[in-house]
Amino acid sequence: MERHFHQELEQLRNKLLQMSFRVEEALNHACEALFERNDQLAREVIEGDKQVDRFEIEIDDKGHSLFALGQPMAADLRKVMMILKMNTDLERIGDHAVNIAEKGLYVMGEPKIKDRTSMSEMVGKVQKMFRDALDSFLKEDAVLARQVLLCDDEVDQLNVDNFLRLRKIMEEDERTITIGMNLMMVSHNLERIADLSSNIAEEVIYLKQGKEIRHGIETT
Amino acid sequence: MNTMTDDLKKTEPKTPPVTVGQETYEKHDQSKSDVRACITVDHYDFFYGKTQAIYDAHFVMPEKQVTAIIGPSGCGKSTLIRNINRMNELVDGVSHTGDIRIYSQSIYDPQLEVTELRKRIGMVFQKSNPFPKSIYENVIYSLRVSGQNRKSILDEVCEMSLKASALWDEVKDRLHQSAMSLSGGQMQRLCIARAIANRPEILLMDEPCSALDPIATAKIEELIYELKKDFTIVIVTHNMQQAARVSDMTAFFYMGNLVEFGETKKMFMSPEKKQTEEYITGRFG
Repeated sequence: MERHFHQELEQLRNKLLQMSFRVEEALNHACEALFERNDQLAREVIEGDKQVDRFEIEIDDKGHSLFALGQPMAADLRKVMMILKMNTDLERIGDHAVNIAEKGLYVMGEPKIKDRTSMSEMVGKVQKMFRDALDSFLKEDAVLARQVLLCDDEVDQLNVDNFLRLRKIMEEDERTITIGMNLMMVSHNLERIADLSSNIAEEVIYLKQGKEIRHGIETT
Repeated sequence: MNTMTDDLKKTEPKTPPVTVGQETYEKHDQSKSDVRACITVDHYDFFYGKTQAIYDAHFVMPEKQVTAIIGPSGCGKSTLIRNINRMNELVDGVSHTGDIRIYSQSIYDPQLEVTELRKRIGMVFQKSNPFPKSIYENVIYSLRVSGQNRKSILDEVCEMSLKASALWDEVKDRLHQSAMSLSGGQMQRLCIARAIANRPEILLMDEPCSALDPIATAKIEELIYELKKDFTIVIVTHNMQQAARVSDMTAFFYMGNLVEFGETKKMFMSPEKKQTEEYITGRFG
């Protein structure tokens, strides 16, 4: 028997997917704006965040209604809870994308740093983590979600590498202090996006398997 | 007996004053300007002898939506729903003041026969009450009573009503078996099919699921969701969760008074009145 509750839950999930596509685009554009020195693109990311904020409020409102009026149980309960948590995570990732875009504007006239290998690698890894986390939600794929979690330590290490490398560059050439400081903050933003992507992956595992794996505690 | 004065009958329909329920209704009305009022309860008092059961209730139930009436036992919710089709007049010594209107017509309009009123308003009760006849005869009973004997029409109405009540697939091969052979949930859906066979405008449901198991209840609730496309539905329920699941608007009654009326979402997420909050959170009642 099809319940109209499930139709509404599916609509809510689709709304979250729309939001996630929007946030993914914002992240990609923010990184492109930063590295390609594209101020127009950076401004679009900042402006576009209002849409992400509207998604957050709509999804919260609808999710709360489903709790209050639909009384979800078991898998339905986990799904509504996950959607609401993921909603918050996505909104935060959107904010980090805005932070990166803003840094792109700050450094628009600054000299470029030639060696940006680890930063580029970090951007690639974080984008992939986020994309895989979204795919794991879309496909409800707990195996892919666990792969996302494995990448988090690598991103943490790249963040440390970036910090050390940028500090060295700034020590050697004081003209790079402004861009160096901003790139350090971008590195931190990327590291936080990786953490939030890991949160999404953990939520997918909870959704599919009912297992709580946060903070290294695995329950059955 | 009723005590409605002739003066009241002659006056134009009153606009209910701004009070608890009306205030919320207006907000609802603004957001859905195409929503049409179907049942207007207008300053309605109702008495069993000298005992007053409803005090000055006034609110408007919108067309083709589900309005749930909730409240603790004895709050007047069943009394109200049974007055909408004037069933309570079968009780000795009842009286009322104020009015109930279906669209713009008073249910107490002397030009309106009670039987005509009840053709416009179907009713489903707490305990399913199929007649000891076949499934087919149950559904088309009201048509037969009103003189319709053309088989093609009766067949068509039977099929349409059973489809609309989500029972057709389960009984289409045994329409001429006794209705008493159905399960409790099927009997209740049969009663819904019977109630809608005459194509009423309004469907009243008085605790329609209280005798059913959770699966049968879920089927009836889904059915209510489908039926509101064609009918204005009023449901009385003790089960607040059910009111939350099935209704668009909710009226909360306590000791004969309408405490709050408004959109169900608002009533269950942030009611205006402390009394409503306490009732729906189980703190009293």
